[in-house]
Amino acid sequence: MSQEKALLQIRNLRKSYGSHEVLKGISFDIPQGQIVGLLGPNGCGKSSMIKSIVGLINDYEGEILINGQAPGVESKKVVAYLPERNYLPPWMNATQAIKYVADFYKNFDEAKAFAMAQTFELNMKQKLKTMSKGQQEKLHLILVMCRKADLYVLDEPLGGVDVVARDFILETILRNHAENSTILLSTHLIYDIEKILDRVLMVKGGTLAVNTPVDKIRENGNTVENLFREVFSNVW
Amino acid sequence: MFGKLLKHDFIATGRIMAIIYAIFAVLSAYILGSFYLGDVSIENMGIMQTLGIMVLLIGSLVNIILTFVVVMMDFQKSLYGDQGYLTFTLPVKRLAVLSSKLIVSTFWYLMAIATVFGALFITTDVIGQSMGEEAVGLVDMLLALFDENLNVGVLVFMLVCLLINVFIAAFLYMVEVCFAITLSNTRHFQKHHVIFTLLFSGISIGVASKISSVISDEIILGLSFDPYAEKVAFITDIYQANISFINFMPSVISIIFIVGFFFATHYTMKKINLR
Repeated sequence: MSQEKALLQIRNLRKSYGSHEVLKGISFDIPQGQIVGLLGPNGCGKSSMIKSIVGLINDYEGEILINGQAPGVESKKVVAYLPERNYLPPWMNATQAIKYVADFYKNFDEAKAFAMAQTFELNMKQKLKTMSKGQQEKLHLILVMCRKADLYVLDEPLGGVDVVARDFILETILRNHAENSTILLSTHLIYDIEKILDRVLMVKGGTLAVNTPVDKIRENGNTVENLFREVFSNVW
Repeated sequence: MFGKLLKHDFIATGRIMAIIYAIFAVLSAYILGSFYLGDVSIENMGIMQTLGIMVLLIGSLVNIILTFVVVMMDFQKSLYGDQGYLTFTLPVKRLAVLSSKLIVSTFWYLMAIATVFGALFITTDVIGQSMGEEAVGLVDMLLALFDENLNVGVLVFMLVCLLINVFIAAFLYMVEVCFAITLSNTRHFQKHHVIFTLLFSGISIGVASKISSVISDEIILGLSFDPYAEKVAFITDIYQANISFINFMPSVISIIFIVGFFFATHYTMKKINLR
């Protein structure tokens, strides 16, 4: 891995909420062009790590570098983030949301976004607040995946949707991410994503328990899901 | 990017404000039309005209509160609610985000104040017009207070100074409340942020205004306006003032508070972890 160019470098990342330390000195590199699964149970620190990477949390200790730059205006230009919640104003419709994102990101392909919205059969005039969860998910995916980003950070993109929708979401991500980009994907649903991952990171109690290529897990005759069970068997 | 932030902040707040101002415009047109184009006067005013004037006057006052609620709710939701996940991942500086919100909030607040004066103007205009000669006589009497030596330039300058003071006061008010909202969204207060917003707003506004009034009572930094004089005079003592004067000391202190609250808000924003 040392020969590959590291897109994301994290060194001794620590984050506390009051006296509760959720990230206890995590360090890792993610090379360019990989799909990385960020796995771990609730409260293990996944979301805090993601929020630190995308610039939503500033009061962390340690170092985060994206393309050699700390989270800030420049890194936000090349990071496409999909939060686990609806982050768009409820009064917006699909057209307004696409125009909004197009206004701020030069690497956003507006024409592709409108074309995808048509393919996904979204009503462009329908307000977010009247859309179903599935329609909202589709719109969010369009806004993120129509960016030619270097790093896609997807926080629980498969949460709360049925198995058909999960396949649809994964297919959309795989088809539309920019060439040679990196995807950091956080999820509980390991089985669904196992086949697409290049590397897994498992966070346990604020530390990095596993950081290994998926091929290596398979070489050892194991699966990501089984490894997850082994690592987190004593959590519950 | 700052222009785009301003544009989208105006769109976000303007969709509600546009409806309110459209209602005011229609109401004003109806009242003015009834009195000027129709044969309505103060003596034969119908229930609709009476209601129209009352709604215009009371509505313009309510609009100040409504405007305040709209812009502050937008501030809370778009920064510290779920929409914060969008706002704070935009490739723009937090300083730009905050500045844009403050400019848009102050604009709508000043619009609301202007609407109150507009409503008062329309009301006095239609009533004055209906009063006919009595109103004309009253205006003549007021104008008679001044003669041909009146220096219009001085009066205009005085008006501009007053407007600047109003702008500074409105901007300070917005910064104080934005600071209170931001502080109430930090970890210790986040759970009951609405209550703490009200509490911190009261403390910020109260403390700032008390300090301002204490200093302004002691130090005069003003302009004396004599509408007959060639020019305005700079004064540092209230006894030097002519017919009227404006003390700029409260505005100077307000500017210092604006800078202080602005950077305090910006600093606090960086400490907030979105829920």
